[in-house]
Amino acid sequence: MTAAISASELVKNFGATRALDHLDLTVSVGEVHGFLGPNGAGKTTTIRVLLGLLRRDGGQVSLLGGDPWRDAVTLHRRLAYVPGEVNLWPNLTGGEVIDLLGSLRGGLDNTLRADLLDRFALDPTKRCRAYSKGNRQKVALVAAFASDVELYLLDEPTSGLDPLMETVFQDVVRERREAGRTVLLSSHILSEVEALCDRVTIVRAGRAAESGTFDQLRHLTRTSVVVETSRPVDGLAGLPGVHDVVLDGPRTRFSVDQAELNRVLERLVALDVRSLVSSPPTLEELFLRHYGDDIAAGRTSAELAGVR
Amino acid sequence: MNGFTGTARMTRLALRRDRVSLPVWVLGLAGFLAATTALWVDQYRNFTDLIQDTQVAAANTGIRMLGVASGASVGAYAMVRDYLLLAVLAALMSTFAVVRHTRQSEETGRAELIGAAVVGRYAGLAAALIVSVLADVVLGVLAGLAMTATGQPAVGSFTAGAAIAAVGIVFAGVAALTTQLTSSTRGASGLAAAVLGVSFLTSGIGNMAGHTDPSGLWVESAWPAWLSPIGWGEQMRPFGGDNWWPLVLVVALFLACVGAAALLASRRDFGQGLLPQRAGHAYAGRALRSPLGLAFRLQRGALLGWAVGMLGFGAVMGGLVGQVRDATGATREWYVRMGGSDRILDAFRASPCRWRAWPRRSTSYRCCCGCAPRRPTDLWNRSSRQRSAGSGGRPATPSPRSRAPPPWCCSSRPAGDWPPARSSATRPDR
Repeated sequence: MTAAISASELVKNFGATRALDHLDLTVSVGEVHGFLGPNGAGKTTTIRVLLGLLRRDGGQVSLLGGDPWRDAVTLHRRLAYVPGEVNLWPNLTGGEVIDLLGSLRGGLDNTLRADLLDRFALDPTKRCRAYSKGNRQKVALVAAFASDVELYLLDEPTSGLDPLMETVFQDVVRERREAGRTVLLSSHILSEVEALCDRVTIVRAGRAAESGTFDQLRHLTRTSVVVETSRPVDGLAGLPGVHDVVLDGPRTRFSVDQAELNRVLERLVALDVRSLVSSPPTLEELFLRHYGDDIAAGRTSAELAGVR
Repeated sequence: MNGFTGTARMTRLALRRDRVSLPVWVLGLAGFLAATTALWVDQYRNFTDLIQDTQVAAANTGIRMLGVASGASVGAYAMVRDYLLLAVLAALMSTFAVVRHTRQSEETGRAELIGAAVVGRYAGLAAALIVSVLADVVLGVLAGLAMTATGQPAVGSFTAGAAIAAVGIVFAGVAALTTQLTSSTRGASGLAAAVLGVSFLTSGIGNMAGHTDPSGLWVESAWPAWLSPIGWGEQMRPFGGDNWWPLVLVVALFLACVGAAALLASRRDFGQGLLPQRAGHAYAGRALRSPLGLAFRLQRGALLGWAVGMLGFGAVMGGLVGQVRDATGATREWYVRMGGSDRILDAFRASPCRWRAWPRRSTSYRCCCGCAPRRPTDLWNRSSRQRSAGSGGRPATPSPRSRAPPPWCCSSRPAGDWPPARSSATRPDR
């Protein structure tokens, strides 16, 4: 697979603030790539660098085989963008804005436009000043998806959308993936990323903290286990890779590093397992592991102290 | 060229957005010029009056700050009265238009949607400049037509239009540059307005420091007038020689500003300006933590700006005291009339208060003969109208204004001290 986007060691400074600190990002052609991170992690900055709106201070970046800053105009024919905060011209109607943005991109598909307006239930005759945040977002989404382009850059595109529209959005993204298009979806709505994305890059403080498929990422993290045994559990907390052990009568809760799972199971079998529920780490846990370090570290050590 | 891709579409977008506001500006300004010129055509049927009022305007340093006399003609007189106002408004129209389509779009994030489309890096700026310059040119042409329609010579009329449009065009360029420097709409407009303020002061000082020629109808400005785009427009001398060559300076400055703006635009990041943004306070100070504190904080900039502006105005006026003390003849008379006191310095000090309300005149004035002015301009006009009426509406004998006893007591001076007292209606004239 070739890369639609490949950035390495990307650096961007705003004065003394370093917004991107050697960020790496690779998005293959035909995949939906999740771009996860908390507020201020550098997601929007990265997308603006990819759009050629910001000039990078260091590193390499290639977008659809071109340089996003130098070849901005030609590259923009092949991509569509939805910002997280959509501000429109108050005295134009939604339909006018869709056509304007479409024509600025080099034309849009009118069948697609009508279909999308219908699916997103957007009234194109209203003036933009009358639209709510969700409706302005829909205008940008329709404008972007009404052009059939190779790459969609979506920066928190569903902020302000209701759950119904969120579903429509996910359907549209899936259709585009099936048609072989590439999507970079920046978000902090984990369920959305989990539902849509083939691969994710987790960005934190301007760096890519982790990148890969969910399965790959899950291997890096812990499985939660709730086990009920006949004989009392002891010494579990002392095993390598076992964390957060909570004893609750016959039931024991703990989390375990993926690599240590087998060894822990062997130990449990010896204790005569009556029931066992194991759940894979959710994206939320992944997220917390990367961003909630300070909070989580405090909590975990307190819990451990309570157990021991 | 790559950087300009999409300029035509962006221009159409800007025109669509401004389809009401720019025509209102342009028609309003041209209409104002037509109306006031027509008023003066009516007022100066008598050529002697025109000569006298032009002489006053030329000799009076205060008026010279606001307009430059270029001979005795209604057109030239209209320039003395209207040019500065129209030039400043044209500059503001251009500034606002350019900032609206560049920095404001960027600040609100609309330009981000545009920038992600197939639009070159210069297209937005180019479209803003095209629309603003177009508005200025239309304004210039309409201003020329407006003056021609009131019977002024065509060459002078269109020179006047060009002089007004020129200031607008220069400030379109200035705004293009300030837009690159600051990262906010307010900052960009404010910086351009500050340049406008300096231009006004520079040309004003140049004109005040100048001198009148022996006829007393022509002001020769001193060199500072040439440092200001407003001054360049004035030195085109509509109806008084009609120089078009200062337009070379206008075009040169415009191109320089636009070139610098384009250079900056090609290098800077979206949403950023060249001037660094300072970090603010992490905590609100005590003074801010109340409704009154908030109100003051929000108005602080405007208050400071106006205070400094007024201080500057006061300083300039105060600096003229020495010159005014020795004023004689028509100038002295003008101050006495505008200031409402025959003690020259008191009158001078009071006169700025009058001219900021120019041309509105207080209706609480009463003439020594007891009649009340019907229209605000009556007091100003009465002298000429009375004499004209003397010979059946035809221009009266062009005799110079006789000093005593005044045959036109109704307007020789306000009947009373400043502020006028009601009881003074019957006060005997001196």
